[in-house]
Amino acid sequence: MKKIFISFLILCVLFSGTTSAQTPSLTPTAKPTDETTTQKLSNQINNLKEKIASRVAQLNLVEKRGIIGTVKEVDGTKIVVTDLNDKTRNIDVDEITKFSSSSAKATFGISDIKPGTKLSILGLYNKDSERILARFITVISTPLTITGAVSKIDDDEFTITVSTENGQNYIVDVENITRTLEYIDNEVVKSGFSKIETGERVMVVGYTQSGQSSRLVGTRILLFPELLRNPKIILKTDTDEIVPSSGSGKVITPIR
Amino acid sequence: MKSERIILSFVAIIIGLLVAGGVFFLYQLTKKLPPEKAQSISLKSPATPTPQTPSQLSILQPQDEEIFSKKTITISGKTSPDATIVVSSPTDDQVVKPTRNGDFSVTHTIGDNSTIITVLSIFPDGREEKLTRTVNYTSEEF
Repeated sequence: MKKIFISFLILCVLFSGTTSAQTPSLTPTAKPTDETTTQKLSNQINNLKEKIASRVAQLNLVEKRGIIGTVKEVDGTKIVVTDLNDKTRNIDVDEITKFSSSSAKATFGISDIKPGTKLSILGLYNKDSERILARFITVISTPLTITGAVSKIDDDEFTITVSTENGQNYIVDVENITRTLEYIDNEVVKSGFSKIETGERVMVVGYTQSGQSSRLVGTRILLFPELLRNPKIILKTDTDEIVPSSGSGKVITPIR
Repeated sequence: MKSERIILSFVAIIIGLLVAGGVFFLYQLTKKLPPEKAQSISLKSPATPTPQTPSQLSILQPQDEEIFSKKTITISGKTSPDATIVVSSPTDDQVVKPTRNGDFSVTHTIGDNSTIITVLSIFPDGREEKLTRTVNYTSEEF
């Protein structure tokens, strides 16, 4: 009898896991009508949840942005531009996109946009497709801002040559519209063409003339007489200053 | 006699379970992951950084290509504390000195549509660093 009892106990221990898994749920079963109503409500809530999630995702995916770009290509309702970082951007145009140009007639549209035109594009940027659905397209002209050092002053022509860090030289026309300023004693004060000195650090804001990318009409010239010139800018006068001598009194000038 | 039968059946169950467990263990041992399903892990040595001077100018706001509904915006950022900051737009230039921890902030008026803001940091040794931001103004909702 004892043996039977022990074996029964072992069997109970061994099969306890399986029996517990098969134990039916003790929760009371709801009435069939209540169940269907709950199911319907649950489905509706889930649908609503999905809709909200989808809308949130959509809103996160699209944001308002504005870019400046030079037109590369116009094709139907698509404009391809190159932005300020030389990146190609795709612009989509639809029936509610508004076009404007200060120099154009009242009816200005996509057909009037030609390659090379600079545009300001405000619209909805899709982070996924990286395309902009344009809402406002305006033809603009942006000034050029150059920083460097004054390498040449032409008193007759009223021009200054500005050499930049990358070795480029710009001729800046100083005209009546040009405001010349200087930064002295932590203050920006008025200055003039006569005060500009060769080798001075300068920042120029101006507009390039058509077909001349290295010549601009200065709208503002800001001089920094108290600040050191960029060491990366080597002016022609710097090399001219060092004249090697043979030691016998004869001056050797370098062959150019 | 009855008790013997029960014990025997119990022993048979135990043996059966052991045999089944053994067979399952052996089956698991023979299982091999096909090479196409195996994910290869490669450890790459970190790329040698190109020697270049770290950027000493950053713009916190505005974000590039941001659209504003007001024409007066704040331009803020961080640079070297001894630098001179020039904030320039097509209409105006502002020259400021950063705080002791290098922070700077200026308010600037922008034009219609898109404006390019240039932030120039001039360091005491004459070096400079320049960053630009395209900012936009529109009063229209879209």
